[in-house]
Amino acid sequence: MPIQLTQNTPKHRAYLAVAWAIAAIVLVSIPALFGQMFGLIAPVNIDRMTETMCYAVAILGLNLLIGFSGQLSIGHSAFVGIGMYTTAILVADHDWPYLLTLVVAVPLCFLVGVGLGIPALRIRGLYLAVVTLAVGAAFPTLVRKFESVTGGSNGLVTKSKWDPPSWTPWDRNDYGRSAWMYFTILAITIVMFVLARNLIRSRAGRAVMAIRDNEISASVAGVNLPLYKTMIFGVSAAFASVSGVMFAMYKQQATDTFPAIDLSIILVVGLVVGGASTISGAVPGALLLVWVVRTMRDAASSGNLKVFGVELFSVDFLKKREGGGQVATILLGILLLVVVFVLPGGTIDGLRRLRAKFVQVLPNPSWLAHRQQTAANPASAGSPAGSSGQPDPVR
Amino acid sequence: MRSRKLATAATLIAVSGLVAAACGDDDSGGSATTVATTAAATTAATTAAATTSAGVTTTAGATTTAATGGGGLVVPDYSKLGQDATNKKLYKGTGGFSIDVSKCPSDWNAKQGITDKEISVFISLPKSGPLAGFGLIADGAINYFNYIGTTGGIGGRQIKLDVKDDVYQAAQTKTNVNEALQTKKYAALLTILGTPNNLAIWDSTNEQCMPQLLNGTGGADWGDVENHPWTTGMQLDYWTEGSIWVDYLKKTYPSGAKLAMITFNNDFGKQYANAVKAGIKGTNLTLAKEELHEATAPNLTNNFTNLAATNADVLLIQTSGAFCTQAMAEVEKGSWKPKSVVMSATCGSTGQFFKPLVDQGLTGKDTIIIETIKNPLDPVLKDDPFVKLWVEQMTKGGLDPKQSTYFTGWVFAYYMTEILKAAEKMQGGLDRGNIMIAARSIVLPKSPVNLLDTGVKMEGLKDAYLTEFGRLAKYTITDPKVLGTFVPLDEKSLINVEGKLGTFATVKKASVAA
Repeated sequence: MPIQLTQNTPKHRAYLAVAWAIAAIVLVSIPALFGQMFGLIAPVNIDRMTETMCYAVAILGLNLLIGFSGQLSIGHSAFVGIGMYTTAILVADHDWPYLLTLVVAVPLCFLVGVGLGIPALRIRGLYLAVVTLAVGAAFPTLVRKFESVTGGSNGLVTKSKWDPPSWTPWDRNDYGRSAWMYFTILAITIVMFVLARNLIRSRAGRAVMAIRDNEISASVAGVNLPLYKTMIFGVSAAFASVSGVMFAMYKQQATDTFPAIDLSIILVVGLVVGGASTISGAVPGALLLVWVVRTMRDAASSGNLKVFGVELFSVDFLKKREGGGQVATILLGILLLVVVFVLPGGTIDGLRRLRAKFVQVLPNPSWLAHRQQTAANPASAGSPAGSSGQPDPVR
Repeated sequence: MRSRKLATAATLIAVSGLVAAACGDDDSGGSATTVATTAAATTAATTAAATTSAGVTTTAGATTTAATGGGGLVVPDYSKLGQDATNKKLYKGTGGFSIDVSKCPSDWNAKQGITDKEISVFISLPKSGPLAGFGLIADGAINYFNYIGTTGGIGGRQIKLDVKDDVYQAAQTKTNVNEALQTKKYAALLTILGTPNNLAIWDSTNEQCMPQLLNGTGGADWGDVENHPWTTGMQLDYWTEGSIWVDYLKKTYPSGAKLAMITFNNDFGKQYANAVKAGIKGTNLTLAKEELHEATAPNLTNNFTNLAATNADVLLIQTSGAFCTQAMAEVEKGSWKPKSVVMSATCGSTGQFFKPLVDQGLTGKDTIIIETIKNPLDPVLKDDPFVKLWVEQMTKGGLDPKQSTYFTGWVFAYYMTEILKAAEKMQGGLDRGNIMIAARSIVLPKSPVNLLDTGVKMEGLKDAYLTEFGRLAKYTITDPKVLGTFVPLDEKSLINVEGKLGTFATVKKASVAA
């Protein structure tokens, strides 16, 4: 029998506090966990966690568009690329600090995203997908065309290192740099997740979801369709650009082959496998893209399947086979199929179902509590300002 | 109504712009970019091209000599090179080359990756993606290292090669190499594949004093011994190769010819293209059209439709991987039949690139290429002791001896082994400083991996290029259903420019003067 907790009760709040505290402890101690406690090859695994967060923010941005607003984009690699190149150019050629480049990259991508949102007002579904595909396909070509700025096919390398400042506990060595990079990227990631959560819970978020569920109904309810559709495109692109900036910081380079069209498709795979229409789905999606793919590629290269350096079994047949490394891509395809059939809500939905076997949270939103209180004691419960016992209408 | 029209217009403009950008004429844009390129590496390479081109055009004519195998190369006394007896941080090689490891990171360890039993080496190359075929190089190298292990290894040490897949993406190469650097368990990096891939990592490797040896690319940049002392190449550089092509075409078509090119759109492809463009200036050879293709291109059909429209006399294929096979197939299946097809040496593996043609009922015959290393599938070489050893070890290791890309892996592994052997003889014994000194001082009067066992040498600040010879050969078949071989255009001679190319700096200086 699962434990039942009613939402917005002290027990529920305590449950949430413990869960968040555990998450925070795990996140903060990852460098120590990977670096010292288990004696694992330290900076490598920290770096992979950093890379995971870069992907998570890109998937999160894509989820705002695909999952929450129902508009399909398979060109988000271009926005990641714009963010990445903006940072690389400003850092490599103009000596800007990495974080300051966000000031340029984010508004730039927001505007480009809004621009791309304009066709989305007229077209939808597969037709919109084709337009966004063109953007994703055009980006590497444009990078090569403007070689004098972008470095062309050789890319741009930013020689500026992300050294930990003196007030941090880390030295300026590989471990220190990896740990400092991890916490910087973690801070940005947390900010982006909080922003996404607040956006979705805001009036604008509800408007966007109303558009996804039924455009006509949303319009009748007073939702400004052109405003919200272009706005969410811009916001999604801005999230992708932040991811690009994070990638540029982490990889300290920008190339035409990384934010190519395959990244757009991979991000969609991560989104579906992680869980569309969920904020937290971006995390398992990103974990899959980085850890499963890299583990499989490494296995095909070395002939041994290893997890955290522990050898599980031999896959020598992949090593000896020409193109054996393709197994990672094949596995992604299989996972996508499996998730679509077995877990239509994605990994996060599966985890929630699993959690429900142990802990069930009964909904008890504030407006319902207020209504129940009013019904029980109509004289004492005054109607709060702006509330009629229903959520605010969406405009 | 007005806003709807505006929205429609905006949509049309946006879509047309995107379509134009996505499907834009790579040819014109690419050519313009190629000529006007200002990216540091490409500029450097471009300048190298002009001089190399000039130098080689002369030497190609003047230095065409009967190959002697030895080539008059003298092996230095390795025991007098290496770690300085008084200053342990200083290592000295030939040609005025030295390295001061006190400038390396404070935690730099000369014995990293080297134990009494093992030497750990790392390689990153594509094992998946369109260029996955090159992944076999790593398997070939491991096979050779295993063989060396059975013969006693390097002073009893086995050579262990760890492999990672980078899908030929420079960003992934950098991630792989960063991870390798951080693990602090490798003595050196071996044969990182691809020009952009090596350019993405060479600043890091040089900063960390990690030997980045025998790059799997023929970029002229790898001769930059002054600025990147920890990085070396191995192959004949693309500029020299392109220049030799021009030399050959000038002789073959004295009354002029129209050239068409299919070029891999990265620094590697452009080095060939620029060498040819520089070489044909002032001659009656003209460039009719250049088509660029991306690493992610599904096929080359559209490019060949455009090239066929020129009806050019000569087709130059300067690409790699599966695109080599696709390009030859397009020529053979199409109505346009250029009089000569010249292809980059990167497409020289018959087992990897010509065998798929045979499977399609095609041949690839008469394609001209520059050979430097032996083709183990060539029947002429069936009694060559090194080729026989290769076949024997392939069979023993469970690898297919009909796949000549494994032999390419053997070539890189052979040079690596010889470098390690030389380093072991040096003052201070086998350590990473001496490995780097050996890589820049190695002299092999006879190299069994090369055509006619042609010797090679490196000489510190004087000669930073290992392979500086080649031989033009034509792919010839006797039976369309059987794999053919490359037959030399001139049976008895090599174009040998050993020691003439110098370093990237001297090449650049001469170019500016020119």
